Amino acid sequence: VTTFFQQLVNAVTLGSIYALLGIGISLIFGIMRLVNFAQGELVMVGAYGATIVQHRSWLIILLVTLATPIVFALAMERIAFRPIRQANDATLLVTSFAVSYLLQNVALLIFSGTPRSINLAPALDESVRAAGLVIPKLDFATVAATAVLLVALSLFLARTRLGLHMRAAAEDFTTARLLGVRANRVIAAAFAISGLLCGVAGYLQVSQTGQVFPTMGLDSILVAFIATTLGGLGSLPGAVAGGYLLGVISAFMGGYLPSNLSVYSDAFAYLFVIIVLITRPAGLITPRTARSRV
Amino acid sequence: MNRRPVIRGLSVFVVLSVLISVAALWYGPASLTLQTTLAQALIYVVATVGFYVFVGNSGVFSFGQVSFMTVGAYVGGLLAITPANKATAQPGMPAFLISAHTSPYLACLIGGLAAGVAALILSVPLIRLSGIAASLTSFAVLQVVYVVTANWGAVTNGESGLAGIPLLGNVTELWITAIAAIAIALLFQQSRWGRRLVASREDDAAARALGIGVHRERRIAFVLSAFIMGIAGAFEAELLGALVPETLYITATTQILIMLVVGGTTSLSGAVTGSLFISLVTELLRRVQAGTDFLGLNIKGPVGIQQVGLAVIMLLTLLLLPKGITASREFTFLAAPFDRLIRRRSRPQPDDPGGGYDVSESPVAKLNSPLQSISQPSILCRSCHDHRADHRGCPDWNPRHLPVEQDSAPSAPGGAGPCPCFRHSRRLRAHRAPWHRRGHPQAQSDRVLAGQQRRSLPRGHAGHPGALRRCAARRRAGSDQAPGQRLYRDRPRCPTASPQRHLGDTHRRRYQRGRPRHAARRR
Repeated sequence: VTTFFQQLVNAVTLGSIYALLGIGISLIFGIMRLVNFAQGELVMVGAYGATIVQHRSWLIILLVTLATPIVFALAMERIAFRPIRQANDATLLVTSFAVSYLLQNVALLIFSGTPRSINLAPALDESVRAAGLVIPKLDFATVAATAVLLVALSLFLARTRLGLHMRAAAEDFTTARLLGVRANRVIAAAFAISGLLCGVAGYLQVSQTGQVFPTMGLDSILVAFIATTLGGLGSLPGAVAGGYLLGVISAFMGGYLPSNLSVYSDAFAYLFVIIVLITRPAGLITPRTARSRV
Repeated sequence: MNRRPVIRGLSVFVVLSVLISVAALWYGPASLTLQTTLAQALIYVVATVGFYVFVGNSGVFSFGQVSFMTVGAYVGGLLAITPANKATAQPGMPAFLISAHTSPYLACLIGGLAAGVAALILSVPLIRLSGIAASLTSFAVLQVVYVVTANWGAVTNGESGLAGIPLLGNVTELWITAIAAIAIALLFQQSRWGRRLVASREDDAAARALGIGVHRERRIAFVLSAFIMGIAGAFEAELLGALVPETLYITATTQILIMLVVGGTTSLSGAVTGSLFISLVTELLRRVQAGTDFLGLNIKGPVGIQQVGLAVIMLLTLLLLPKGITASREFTFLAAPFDRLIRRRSRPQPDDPGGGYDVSESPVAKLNSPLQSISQPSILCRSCHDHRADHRGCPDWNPRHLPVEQDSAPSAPGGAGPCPCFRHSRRLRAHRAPWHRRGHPQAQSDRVLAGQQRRSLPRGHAGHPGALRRCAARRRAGSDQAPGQRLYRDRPRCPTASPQRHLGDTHRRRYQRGRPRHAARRR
C-alpha cells in the first residue's frame, strides 16, 4: 500500500508538469490550429537561461527562467508563425518543427552537447516523511505551483477582457476577429502564456533532474503531446486531465511493470496514444470547436 | 489518344535521371569522403522520393515514414551480415535469423518488402486518420519503433546495434535504385490511383463525394512509400556498415522533411531536387565546419553550424517560398515543343468541331440524343472509371476532372460541340457564349479574351455583355426580395434589388434622395 501511495505522489508530481506543458500546446492549438513542436525548446531556453545566472540569488534565477521562454515564445510567434498564419495545418506543423530544430542546434552551437548540471532550488531538496511515505518538498512546490497557475489561468480566461477575447478566438477565430478581437494581440498573449507555463515547467523539471542539455526539450514536448492528444487537442480541461492521466500511467508503469518489460514503458505510452487517436481522433474530451467542419 | 501526359512524364524522368547520373558519375573520380557523401546523397534521394510518394501525393504529413527505413535497414542488415559474424556478436539471436543470409543487394530488396508488409499491417488502423491526428499518430509510431529497436536485444542488439554489415562496393546499384525509385514514383503519380490521391489532397470532401475511396488510394501510396524507404534504409545500413537505433530517428526524419519541403512538397521534381540541393549544402557546411581554404582564406565555422544552416534554410523556404525551390512544379520543360506540336494539330477546324475529338462518339453526345438518354446512366466518371478514352482528345483534360453530372451543353454558335470535360459540361446558362468557358479551345486567355469576344458579338446576341446584364436584372426583379436585402422599409422596393446596387449613384438618386452620401456609414 505504501508503494502504491508513493507511486501516486510521483504520478501527481509528474502529472502536474505534464499538465502545464499540455496547456501551453492546447491554448495555441485552440486559437490557430498549430501544434507547436517548438514549445519543448522553450523549456530548454529557460533552463539555459538559468545556467547563465546560476550563481545569483534564487529570485533572479527564477525570474530569468520564467522570462526567457516568454521572450522566445513572442519572438517565434512574430518571426516564424505570424507570416504563415493563413497556411494549412501541415505547413504550420512543419514550420514549428523547423523552429524547434533551429533552436535545438543553436543551443548545441553555443553551449555544446554535454549536459550541464545545476541545482536550482537547494532549499527544496529535503524530504518530508509522513506515514511511511517520503515526499520531497519539491513535489509540494510542484503541485502548489501548478494549482496556483491553473487557478490564475482560469480566472484570467473567465474574468479579464483579454481572456474573453482568447476564448472567443478559440471558439471561432474569424467571427471573433469580425467582432473586434485583435488577432495579433490574442495570439501573442497565447504564446506569452505558453512561454510562462513552459518556464515554470522547465524550472520544476530542472529542479528535479538537475540536468540541462540541448535536446531536453524533445522529451518534454513528447509528453506534452501525449497529454494534449489524450485529453483532446484544444481543450484546456482535457490537457490537464491528459497530463495527470499520463502522469499516472508512466508512474505506475515504471513502478509495477516487470523489469524486462519496463524498458518498453515509453512504447506502451505511445501505443496508448495511437489507440486513443485511432478510436477518437480528436482526443478523449473533444471541445465543440475542435470538430472539423467541411 | 492524348500523348501529353506521357511526354511530360518522360520529360520529368529524363531530367531527374540526368541529375541523378551527374551525382553518380561524380563518384568515380571523387575522394573517399566525397564518395561517402555522394552515396549518402543518392540514398537520401531514394528516401525522399519514397517520403514524397505518400506525403506529397496525399498531403498527410506522416512523421513516421522513417520508421519504415528502420525496418528495412534492420531486415536488410541482418540478412547481409554473415552467419558467423552474427553468431559471435549476438549469441542470443534466434537460430533461424543467424542462418538467414543473402547477398547485399537482395537483402536491400527484402528489406524494402519487409517495410512494405509492415506498412500494410500498420495501415489497417492508421489510414483512416488525416490532418493533425495522422501527424501525431505517425510520430508516435516513430517513437514506438525506436523504443522497440533500442531495447529488443535478441534481434536488434539494443542500443549497441548491428555491426559487420558488408559495405557497399560501388555506387552503380544505388544509382539504378534511385532511378528505379523515381520511375516508380512517376508511374504511381501518373496512374489513376495517384491522380485520385492528388484529388483527395486538393479537396478531401469533394473527392469523397465523387466516389473516390480515399483510404484505398492512401493505402497504396503508404505501402509503396514504405517499400521505397525500406530499400533506402537497407542501403543506409550497408553504407555505414553498422546500425544503431539513433541512425534512423528524429534527425533523419528532420533531414528528409527538410529535403522535401525545401524542394517542393507536392512535386517529384521537388523531392529529387531538394534532396540533392540539401545534400550539397550539407556537404558545404560540413567543410566549413571542418575548416577549409576558400580564396586563400581559411574559413572554419563552429561545431553545429551545419544543422543551424539547414534549419535556417528550411525556415526561410517555408516563409519565403512556401512551395519550395521548384515551386512544386514538375520539370516538364523538355515536353514543351512536343506540347505545342500536339496542340497545333488538335486545334479545332471548321469541319472538325471537337478539335481532334469525335463529338458524335462522345458519351455526352450519346446522352444528349433522346433515344439513349434514358438507358444511359447520368453519372459519367472520367478519370476514375473506364471512360478514359473518351476525353483523351480534350485539351483541357487534367487529373482534377472527376465524375460529374452531365447536362446537355448548348450547341455553340460556330464553336466546338459538347465537350465532355468537367468545366464544359457544367450546367451552363444559355446566354453564355461557349468560348467564355475556361479552358475552351477557343478561349486563349481565360477571362480577358472571353470578354473581348463577347463584346464583338452582335448586339442582340445572347452572349453579348448587355444581354447578360439585362438577363441578370430581369432575374433579380422577378425573384422575391429577401428580407435582409430590403434595406430601407420606408422607400419603394428596388426592382433590381441587391444590397450592393443600392450604393450605386443611379439608385441613390432614385431611391435614397435626401440622404447624404456618408449617412449610411454613420449609422
